Amino acid sequence: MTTQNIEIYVNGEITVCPPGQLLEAFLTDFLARAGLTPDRVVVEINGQICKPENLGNRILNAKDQVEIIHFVGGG
Amino acid sequence: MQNIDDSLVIGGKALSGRLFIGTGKYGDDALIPQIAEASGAQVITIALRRVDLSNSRGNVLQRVPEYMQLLPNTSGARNAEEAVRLARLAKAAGAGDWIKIEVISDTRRLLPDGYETAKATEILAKEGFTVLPYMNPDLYVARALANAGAAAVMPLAAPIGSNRGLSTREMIAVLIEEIKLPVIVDAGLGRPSQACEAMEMGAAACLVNTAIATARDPVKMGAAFGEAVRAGRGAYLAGLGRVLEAGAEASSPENGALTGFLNKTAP
Repeated sequence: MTTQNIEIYVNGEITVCPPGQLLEAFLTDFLARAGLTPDRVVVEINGQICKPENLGNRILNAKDQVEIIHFVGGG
Repeated sequence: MQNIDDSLVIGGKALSGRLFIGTGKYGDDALIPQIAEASGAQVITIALRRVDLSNSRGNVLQRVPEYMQLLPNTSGARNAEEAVRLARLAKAAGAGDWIKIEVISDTRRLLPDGYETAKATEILAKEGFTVLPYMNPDLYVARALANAGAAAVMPLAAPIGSNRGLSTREMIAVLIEEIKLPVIVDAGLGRPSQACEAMEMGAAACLVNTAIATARDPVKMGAAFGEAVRAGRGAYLAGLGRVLEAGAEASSPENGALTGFLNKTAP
């Protein structure tokens, strides 16, 4: 039995994830690929800032627009 | 170090150092803590961007010493709405409530939009942010920013990243005279002597990024800017000596000169 993956937008790019995927698990995996930890990273979902305490109970839905933002050098 | 009585107070926080530094354009972010220490800077700017899987240099905050006051900017914002969004993200990401508003829509000239900057300043000041807007040194924009609740104004010396120096000198002098808020000269300062001059004029602080980052030895240049800013502040506090409109005036007394006496022939 296969489940159909859903499409979401992450930092402007189409990405697929399994249905029922928790935002927190997705984020941890995404950041691990960048060699980062969730410390001082902020997530915006459909234009709303997602508080860290809500990451664990937010399930990703098809077409969600996720922005994963952090600090870089700047003047 | 400046005398404690001369600390710069912004948003209720007393700062002993009057040089602000940036974190952009460094070939190696490991230089950042060294420059922070060498320069004596207490305030440091950072920017917000999407995490980029193909080119991640890690989180720049790991390089910023704990004692420093973070000043996240809203670079990338093209209007007030985007600046407000970035400011809220910076706060949510743990950077505190200071924000350097930077609204630029002209990607060629990179000059700040005073109208959109004032709109963003008003919204964010009401939300409790300590707002430091980057601006053209325009008297009316500065007044609008002050009325909107800015904690300081940050006029540009020259276009961003240009190292062309105090090309807006006269307009900055007007702001220093007319605006009650701290005037922090930002952008375009290329040499320590230019930062020193801004401080002699009465600027409250200078923000320097590119001039340090593009120097052959950024750590030494950070130290040089720190000394220049301290020297300029000292000169401002000392009160510059007067300038003669014309002519000259000897510094040694004119009476009792030995040579005049010796040249007289004995009777």
